[in-house]
Amino acid sequence: MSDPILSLRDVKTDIGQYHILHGVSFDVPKGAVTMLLGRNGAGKTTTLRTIMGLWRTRAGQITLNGDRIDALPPARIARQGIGFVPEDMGIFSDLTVAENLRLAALSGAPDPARLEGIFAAFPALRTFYHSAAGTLSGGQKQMLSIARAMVEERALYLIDEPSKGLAPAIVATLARALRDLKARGASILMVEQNVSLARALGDHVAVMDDGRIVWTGTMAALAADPALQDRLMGLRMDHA
Amino acid sequence: MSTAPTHAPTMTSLPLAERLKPWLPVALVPVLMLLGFLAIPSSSSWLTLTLAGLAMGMMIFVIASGMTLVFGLMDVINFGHGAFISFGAFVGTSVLLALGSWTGAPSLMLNLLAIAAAVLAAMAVTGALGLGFERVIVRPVYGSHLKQILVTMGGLIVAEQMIFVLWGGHEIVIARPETLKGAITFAGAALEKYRLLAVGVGLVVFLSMRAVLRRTKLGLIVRAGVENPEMVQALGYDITRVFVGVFIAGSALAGLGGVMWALYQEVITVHMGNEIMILVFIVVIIGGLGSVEGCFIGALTVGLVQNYTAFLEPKLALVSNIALMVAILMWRPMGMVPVVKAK
Repeated sequence: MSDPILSLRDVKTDIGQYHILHGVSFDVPKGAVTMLLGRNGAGKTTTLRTIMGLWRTRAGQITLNGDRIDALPPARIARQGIGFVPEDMGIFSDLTVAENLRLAALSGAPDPARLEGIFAAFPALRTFYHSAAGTLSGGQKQMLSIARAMVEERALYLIDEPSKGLAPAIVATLARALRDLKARGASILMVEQNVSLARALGDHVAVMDDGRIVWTGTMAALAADPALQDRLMGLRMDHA
Repeated sequence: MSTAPTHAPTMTSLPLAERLKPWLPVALVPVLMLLGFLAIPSSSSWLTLTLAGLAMGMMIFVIASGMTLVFGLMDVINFGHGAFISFGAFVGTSVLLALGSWTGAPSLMLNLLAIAAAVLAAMAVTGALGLGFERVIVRPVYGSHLKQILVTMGGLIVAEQMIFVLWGGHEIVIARPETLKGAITFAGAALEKYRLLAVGVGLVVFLSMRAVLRRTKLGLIVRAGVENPEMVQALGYDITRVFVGVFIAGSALAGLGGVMWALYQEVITVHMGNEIMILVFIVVIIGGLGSVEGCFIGALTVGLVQNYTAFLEPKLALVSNIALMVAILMWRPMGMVPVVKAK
């Protein structure tokens, strides 16, 4: 495994009176896709939100390229170079597609060449460029959410269940865009329940259960061991 | 996995009724003016009342616009907003009284300079007060509406007592500058010069706010923050700093509104801000919490309804705005221009 871009060490997070993460530790390697898998309620989304600073850690350390980020506010964490695609997509419905993308460009405005790349991956965003994002379909909103993270080069992408609730054709479009992102050497930490998508994109895997990491390894190792899949996630990847 | 389709949809045109739906609230103001024209027997009276209603609406808009953004951005209910109106009025009046030779001179230039000085002083003081109010009173109670109501009401009482200490408890009479006294005659109607100025100032404030919100990156951040502040932070923008900026700007605008209201009423009292807040709350609610455009339409509607009703049926004037709020909330429960909030 190459040097990690992101490391979590014994991270504990509470939401209100509930202890959600009980000491999460794992690494996200540079230039690879790490899948964070696990049953519903295992703490995957909480882990991503904790990395972004949207929920504060009670204990533990999070480092990005060796620098601690767990005490930073979310805006500063984002400016360290993390692109975040939340589970609910986080689209600004009252803003147009163009305005959503412009907002994500911290340098001021999106680079035209990069924008063309986004349109090539998601043609619908060109069609609806000047339409309110609230009028888009669920799949188009997810495209916009991912496009927003891609509008500038990021050190790391945190993507939470991009295929959730979407039709297979839309999932295929998203998968193609994410494969392109991966091919460009992006570092990605992704939560995904769609096992075939996870298997197609993932290089590494961290499996969570009850707020802890219970297994880490390569996707190839997990995919080759049905008994391990069954024990960790309660399913077989080739049956999913 | 199957080959991904291009997924390039085509646009279809919505039916006319659907396309017009979002514009219905915008049509409310001209429709009200038309109804007023039909109901009021004399066209000159209608013109005078319409100008009075628009001027009143513009002043309420100036005061309420900051408050609606503060609520939209950080979900903060600021009952202390009235303090900035009162402080603005007292500071502005003090400046105008000190510049008595300018306001008393029959020179439009000197009169406007005196008003500009009063407005700048009022906005600077209320902006600074807003900064302190946010730090000391509002910031500790983010996320708790009940505490916000209690604490900002307390802040309002403290601010009013400070005005008592600084200016005394008596009313202060303030005459309008010389060239803004009286009215001009147009189409047989007497149009007060000061009301014309108030409409102009209100329009400039609205168009400036709209330009900032629609055409600048800062405006984009504010609009996005009203909808989903958490996501704005996750994109790399410090929403707390933006909120403080909006709070200061909102307080300064309330100060400007206070000066305008003082010159409109020609008398100021310690409790004037508190009294105007009833109208401000109605405007913010019927406009759609967090919407500047809704606030503008709501303010003009309130101003026109109050003036038309006071002329046609004076006994109903007191309840006209409450009735208007009930009617609009029955039509659009989230206000005329509802703001989408992230869950």
